[in-house]
Amino acid sequence: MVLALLRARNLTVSFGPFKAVDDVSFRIKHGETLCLVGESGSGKSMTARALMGLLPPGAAVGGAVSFEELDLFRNRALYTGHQECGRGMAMIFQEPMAALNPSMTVETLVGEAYRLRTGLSRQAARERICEVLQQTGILSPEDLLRVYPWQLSGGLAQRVMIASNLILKPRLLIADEPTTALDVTTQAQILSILLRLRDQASLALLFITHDLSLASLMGGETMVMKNGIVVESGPTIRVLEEPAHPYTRNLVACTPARARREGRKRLSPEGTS
Amino acid sequence: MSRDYVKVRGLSVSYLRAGTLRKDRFQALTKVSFEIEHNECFALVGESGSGKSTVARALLGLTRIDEGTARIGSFTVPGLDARQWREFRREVQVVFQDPYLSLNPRLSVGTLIEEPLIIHGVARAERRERVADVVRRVRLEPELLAGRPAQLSGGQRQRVCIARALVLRPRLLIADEPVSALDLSVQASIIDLLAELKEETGLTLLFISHDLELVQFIADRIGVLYGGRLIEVGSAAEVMEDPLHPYTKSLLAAVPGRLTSAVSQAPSALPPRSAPSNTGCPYGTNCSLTDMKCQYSGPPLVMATPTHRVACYKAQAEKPPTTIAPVEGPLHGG
Repeated sequence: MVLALLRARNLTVSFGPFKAVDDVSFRIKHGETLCLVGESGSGKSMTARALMGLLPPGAAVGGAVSFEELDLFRNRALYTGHQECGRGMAMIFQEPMAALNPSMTVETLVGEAYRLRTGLSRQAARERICEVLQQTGILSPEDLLRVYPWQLSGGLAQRVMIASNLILKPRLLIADEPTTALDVTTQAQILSILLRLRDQASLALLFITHDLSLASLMGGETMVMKNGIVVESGPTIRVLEEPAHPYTRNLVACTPARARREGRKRLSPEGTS
Repeated sequence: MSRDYVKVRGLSVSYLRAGTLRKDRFQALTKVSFEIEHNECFALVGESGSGKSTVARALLGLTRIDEGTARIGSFTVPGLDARQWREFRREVQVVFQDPYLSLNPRLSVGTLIEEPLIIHGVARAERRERVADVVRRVRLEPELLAGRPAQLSGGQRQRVCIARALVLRPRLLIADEPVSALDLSVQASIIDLLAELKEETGLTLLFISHDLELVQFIADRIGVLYGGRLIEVGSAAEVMEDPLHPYTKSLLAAVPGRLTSAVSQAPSALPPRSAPSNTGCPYGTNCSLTDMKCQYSGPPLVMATPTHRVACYKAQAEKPPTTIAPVEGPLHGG
């Protein structure tokens, strides 16, 4: 039997009486994709942040999360301590520009954690830095090493962000709306990079999006959230093609792609305008 | 007389590059021309930096026009005096992208919607009537009028912005990415609302968006901008079903809803896209069909069919392949 890479049981994130994430359970296997779909305020980002230990102050977390059979909440100190930090799972964010320190060069941004971990010199780490940059589809990484984030386009910045996570060879990559701030053509490139990493480096993905058509591209399993609760989950194709829950059904019906396929003139499904 | 309500001719706009002492200007728009008929929705589509918002800003007089003119109804921009600008703003209104930033948080919703009427000196009794009418049209619950914007959801706020724009009964509404800050289901209802308002009130719409898949639900005609130039214009059906410009094709190919199984069709390992060329075709360096002629002089926008124009030498000579070949890049399995 294949053990799950990550398993969340009855995960709850609450701010006082308000539950941002309410009793959510799921598992992700090695090299597989779980898409977390929902509108703003559905709790999808809070779920990801709870896994990474990045919840804002004032948030209380409940339930259990195990990563590679290690209970995260009980071993938080061990897990996020200097040695283990960021080793097993990594996270990329929506705004690559905001997530990259503008005063550091690409070389430092990508290599910092790696050099801390391995104790390698700048020179020695450079080869590995170029290798991960190449994995993200950057053809001549050497030219990029001395560049600052604010000199990068959005797509390149997101690649640098992915590379800085890949360098430690994580088993799980959490991508929180990684393409929302990007143009469609750039979005397609970033998605295909993520898919290739999943297939070739057997990286498991937790892909968070508000866009159902992106979930259908990423495949795997999909979990639909609303107001902190999972309303529907299952194989992505099944959830999108035959949504069982009325909320999912409405969400699917609102996508321009679906409206076009059905030859509708209006975007809203009937009776919900 | 032509039926065109908006006629833009050779519009060029440049910005001073930030942080430079040199007289270094960034060409945001280069000789953009298009027209919009009465009660038509014209969608301008492009990626970030393509100049689509600059078109809106130039038409509204919010940015300096270097060259060219825009005739809107009986007004011609640039060259209006203060009094004419005031009249102009009764006729042309705008809705911006982020409804969280475009409403004064201290005013009540009712005041926000009434404000344009007060500015334009409409009598109190008529104001009340017009506000009630527009609130009904945009389907806002009247109870919300006493509240503040902070109490509203994103969709409700955008309805307030639309109400504020429409309360003056303008003839042209410029909507600059009006739904990109909204959730999917809210986006659908706002798009449908705009389409309905257009049908009911005879409004003319300039709809600016990055989402080609979305605009077909509202646009009669679509113009595609790239690097500050209009590279393709046609009826919505023509541009969506039979795109002629290689860039439009790649844009359509990258729409997630159109690639149902794999992203592999989209180029994945291309080097960073270089800045649009100033002399040749703006898409030249990124185009797989480019040759010497494209680099030497930019192709003009020429007619392909009576309603469809494209700026590409290749699209005229021979039809380029309909799908972009996948570009395989080096990827060493990690």
